[in-house]
Amino acid sequence: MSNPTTTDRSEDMSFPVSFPISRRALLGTAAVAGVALAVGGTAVLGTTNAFAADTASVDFLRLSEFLTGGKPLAQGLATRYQASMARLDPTFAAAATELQRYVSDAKAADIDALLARPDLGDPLRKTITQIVSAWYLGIVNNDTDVELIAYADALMYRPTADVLVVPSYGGGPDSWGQKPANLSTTPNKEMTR
Amino acid sequence: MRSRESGFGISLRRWMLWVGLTACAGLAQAQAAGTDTLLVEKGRLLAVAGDCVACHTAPKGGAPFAGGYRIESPLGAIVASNITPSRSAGIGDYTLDEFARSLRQGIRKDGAHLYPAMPYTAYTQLSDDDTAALYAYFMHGVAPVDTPAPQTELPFPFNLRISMAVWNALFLKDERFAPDASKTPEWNRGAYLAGALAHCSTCHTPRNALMAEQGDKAHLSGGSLGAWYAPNITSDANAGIGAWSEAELVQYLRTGRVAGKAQAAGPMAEAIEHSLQHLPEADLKAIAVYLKQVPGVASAEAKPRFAYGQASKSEIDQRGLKDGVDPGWRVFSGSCAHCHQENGTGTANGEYPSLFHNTATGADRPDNLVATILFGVDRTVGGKAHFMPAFGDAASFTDRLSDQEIADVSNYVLGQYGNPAVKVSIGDVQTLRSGGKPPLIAQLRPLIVPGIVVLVVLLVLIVALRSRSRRRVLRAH
Repeated sequence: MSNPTTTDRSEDMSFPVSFPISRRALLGTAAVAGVALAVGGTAVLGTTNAFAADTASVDFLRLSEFLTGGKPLAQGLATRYQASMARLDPTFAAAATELQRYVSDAKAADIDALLARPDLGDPLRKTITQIVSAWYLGIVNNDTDVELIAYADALMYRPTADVLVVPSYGGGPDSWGQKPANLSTTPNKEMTR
Repeated sequence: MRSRESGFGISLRRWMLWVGLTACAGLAQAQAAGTDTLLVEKGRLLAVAGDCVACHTAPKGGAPFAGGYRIESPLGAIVASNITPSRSAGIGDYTLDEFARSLRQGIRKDGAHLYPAMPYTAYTQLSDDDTAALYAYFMHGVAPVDTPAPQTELPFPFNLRISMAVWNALFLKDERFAPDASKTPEWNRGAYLAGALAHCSTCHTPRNALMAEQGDKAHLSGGSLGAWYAPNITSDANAGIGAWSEAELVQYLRTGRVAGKAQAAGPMAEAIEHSLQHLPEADLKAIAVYLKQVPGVASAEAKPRFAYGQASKSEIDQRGLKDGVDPGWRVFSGSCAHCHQENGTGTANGEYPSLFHNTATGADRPDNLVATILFGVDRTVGGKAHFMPAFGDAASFTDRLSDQEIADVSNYVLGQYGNPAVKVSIGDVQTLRSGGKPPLIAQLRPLIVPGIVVLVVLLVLIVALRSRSRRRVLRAH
């Protein structure tokens, strides 16, 4: 993760975090959830700190839900993502604990508010990207040491789940439905202008 | 009930059968004209309800009612005959009485016995009026086809048609349907349709060692049909269809599908495609009313077949794992999940059914699940095809699954979505792939000839010994 290419890519990866339009549309209750997490997270963090630097699995789930804004997330997947990231990146466990402490202290309303904070520095931003990227893509890491955790459950498919099927799965014969009467597939003047 | 032929019964039956037709024309007129279009049309509707076409028309483009379809019975293939009005190849020179005798007693014009693959044990209940209407239809509503159907050639000793005379004496209740005055006209209509015409019990009633339907206590309690199993459709809430509403039963008979309960495949899909979907709504309702009142036959099942299972979490637990993956899930993921979706939920639009809350996976036996995987589903209802590909021998080479794979995926599906107490072995799949477990009489067939030889030898020995001992006794005196 130290070479420039990887750093660049992780910068790119922060794009969906900074402009989570679909995510925002998806979750009207993000703010409420964020507040609940900030409050709840503080309490849980206290107990976790008491005996280990590692983030407990249930805490990692809540952290992930706050960071991705995607709620609910599956506990089973959270456990697998966390274990995989810890295995492939020796620094991850400590970084995640650090991030959770920061999130807990910041008490941001949601991920957008958190990202807007000027004191959010690079090791933390990198960890956020790492976690959010894994949940959205369903894979941990980017290069040769990649591990697949989820396919259909990857968050990138969630915003369009009500309209599109996950590729390789079928929606049934004629599942495209009827073309809306007031739309044309040929470009009209307004579109070509 | 059947044997009673009261005056009330006759008038009620008339009322039932003619209620729609007499609105158009007088009863006397219709009978006087004999072959008029009304009677032919009535016969056509009855032939649809009786599903004559299922056997007497060869699938995939066979001429209507020209026969030739090989009905794969456990005792060998029985070829459906040509029942077009052709004088040379069909039944064109049958009189009404001869027609009625073959329909209701299973005896051809030439006196030979039909095999009970022809459900004359059900059609025997048909009224005289309906038999006449069917006769009118087959004489005047069907185009003659002069191509004779191939002869049925069963192996010895089943090729002795005369044996059916004994069978009939034992098992054929040669009686017309007699309405039960204590029940509603609707129930009586349903009982007549289900018993005499739609011949539900032909498949849904278990058979005894001589392949005859078992008695009243087992009526409609489920029977095996080779690879498929026609389930218990008595009113028992768990083992039967007691937990279905009348409307759901009607929908199932009309479309072959009730979301969250069941879908028709195999022979039931054929019955719906050819026959049941074309019945008037009132008739389907009558069948539902009747089925809901068939005395329940219970079994060990603790809940209805459709009540088992839920969406799986396999995708969360197993996706991407290299070790410890359920081999059944692997097959599921590669062959089933495209349509039934990754967690077995099916599609929200109902095109692909969920694997849970599905009688194919919640039954107390795996036959229909394995048969569906092996042979697929193909049901055209209301002009719309409903299709699941086969994964057995008929599948394309790339789709074909081995016995091991089908056993694995069946066990995965039963454990995740269906009745987890049911298990499938490779042997089970082999048996169903080859058409199911043959009944005892078919299994015993290879022993029949040696058995006769042994019997004759034994008889000779006994006679010889007795005469010798008698001589000895005489000598002693």
